[in-house]
Amino acid sequence: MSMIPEQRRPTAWFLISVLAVIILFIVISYSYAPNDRMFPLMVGYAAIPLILLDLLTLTNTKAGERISLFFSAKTPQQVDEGVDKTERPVGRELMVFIWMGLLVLGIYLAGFLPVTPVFVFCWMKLRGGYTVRQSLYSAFATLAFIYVLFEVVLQYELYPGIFLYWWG
Amino acid sequence: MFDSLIAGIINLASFNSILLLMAGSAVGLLFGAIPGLGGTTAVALMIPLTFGMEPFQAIILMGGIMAATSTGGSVSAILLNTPGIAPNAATTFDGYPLAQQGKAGMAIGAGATASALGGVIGVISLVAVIPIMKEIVLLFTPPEFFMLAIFGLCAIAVSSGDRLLQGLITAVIGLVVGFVGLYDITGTVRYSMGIPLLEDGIKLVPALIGLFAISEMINLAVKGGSIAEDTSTIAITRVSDGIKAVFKNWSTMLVGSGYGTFIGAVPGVGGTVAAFLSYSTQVQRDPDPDIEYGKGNIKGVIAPESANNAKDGGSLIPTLAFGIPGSAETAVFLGVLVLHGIEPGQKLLVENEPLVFTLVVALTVSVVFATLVVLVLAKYMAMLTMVSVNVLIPTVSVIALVGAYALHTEIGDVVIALIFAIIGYFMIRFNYPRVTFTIALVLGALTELNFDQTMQIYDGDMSVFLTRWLSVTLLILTVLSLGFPSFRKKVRERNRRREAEAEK
Repeated sequence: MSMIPEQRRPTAWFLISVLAVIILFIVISYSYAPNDRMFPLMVGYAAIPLILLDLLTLTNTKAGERISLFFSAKTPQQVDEGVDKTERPVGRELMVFIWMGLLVLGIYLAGFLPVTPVFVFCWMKLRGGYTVRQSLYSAFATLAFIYVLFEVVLQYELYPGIFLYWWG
Repeated sequence: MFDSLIAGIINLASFNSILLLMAGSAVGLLFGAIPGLGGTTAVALMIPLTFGMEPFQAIILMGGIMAATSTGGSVSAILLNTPGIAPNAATTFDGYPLAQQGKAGMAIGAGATASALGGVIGVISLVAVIPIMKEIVLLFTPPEFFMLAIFGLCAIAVSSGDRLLQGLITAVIGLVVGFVGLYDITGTVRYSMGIPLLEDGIKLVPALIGLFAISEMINLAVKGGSIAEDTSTIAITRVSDGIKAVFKNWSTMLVGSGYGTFIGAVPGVGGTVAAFLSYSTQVQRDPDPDIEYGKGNIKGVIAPESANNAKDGGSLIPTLAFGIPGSAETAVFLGVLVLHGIEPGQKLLVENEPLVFTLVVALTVSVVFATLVVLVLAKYMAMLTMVSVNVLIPTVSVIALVGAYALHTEIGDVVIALIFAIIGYFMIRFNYPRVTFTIALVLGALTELNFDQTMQIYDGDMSVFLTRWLSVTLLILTVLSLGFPSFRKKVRERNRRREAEAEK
């Protein structure tokens, strides 16, 4: 890791995670019959050198620079210049994942129709700083759109949530 | 042929038929514009409505839907960076940056016009090539299909600009994800980890919704701000500028339409590959653009939009001629034909030619109608970019999740959409192209199937890929496409050196 500059380390960790998944994929592949694993193994083994080459481009080495020049016609430094430099604090990312996770959990438990206005209202009020009235209007407008399009026009039976199943 | 064309026009020239066509176009526009719904869903949902209809009426309704979907999808691709349907994903590369620069009207104008012209060219090609297409499509056997898929993936990775290596990595990951589920050839369930939901494989619709729509919402939420970088600077430029841009860049539109028709005609490959190939070809044809591709070049909107609408005509060629659907949408359409007692193949082309021309006329009129609707409403649609992210994020997220659930009414698909949203977000964060991942996911099963069939037919002899002329041609194109970035760099350096010497 010491060969990789500080700003490229998150990308390196991302690549290492992908590499781990690919290795796991290859290991699992061997549990299948030869006919079932032939093509997946070819793909899995092709991924490893590609990931290692990409890891090498993250280092400040001559080899990394050459690989980067071959594949992107740019040096790693030139590639860095084109990267979006917006700050993405981990805490903020986690918070957004939690919101989205809660939305999906809410849908699973209570269904689409009750959760839709609650989620839209809470997001607009708590994250967007909108007034209660604005948040309520948007929440119910979204609910009306989903209900009319999916339930009335398209006649889908939207998922009612596991609570409803439990309570019969 | 002329009599059949007249019969097709007569079929369409009644109040009921025009009403059906408009209804189909409106549904196509709506389903195309809402991320995750798409034309396949629309055609499938409308099947019950056609039960009481005459066959030509059912064809008109379905033709209206199929022709308008891509046009509708371009609107959300340009305004929200979330393609309404997968073939519009390439439109986001330059359409969204244009919207961010306050040129949403121009981008929509160009996209809609390119869609209309591409659609008409595709339909004309359908009429023109039916007699000879049979021979061309039959040239593609499993080795050629396999090489075509590999070429498609590499060419698309090259179109990722300076991220070729990263594009190849995400393509490989896409293939890996595509292996999950039942393997048709042997009947084995692979990589499902015992989860019943994964036994049928990763479903494309929720995966795409997560990867494009929800991940973009997560990205917006993390970054903050609004879809337009600075709403105070947004000025909706005239839509007519976009229309003019299409005629000014007519060669881009023609090449895109050609790609759409040709790729659309190859079963299973479809509009997404056509749009991305058209885009990557445009990038390669234009080595020194006025505005860099990916940063708001109008040609980057024209190329994919002309291709993804032209594919409608192309994909109907194998569907009507051989009963082999060119895409998921035409596969469902094929079901409609069978439902109404129409057998595709020689019989349809010879005995029911007026029906084929009814479809041709319906597709042509519908694509023009959908374009007019989009052009008229473009200014109002463009205003969407000024909406605050804190209104958009919750509403789009919820609607996208409903879309993920709707096709299969499976709650697990909502979870899949969320997982792919997180994967998509990390791809955005670390600058790994989602496009190659998506194409690999789409092509994964087809690639493996054709590889395995090749191995079975040729007793595991891999040299077959090097002994068939079409396969070798595709292999050479693949290698050339991979060496393209360094070749381009060398050409640029040589040109610079020459210019420097000339200045001395």
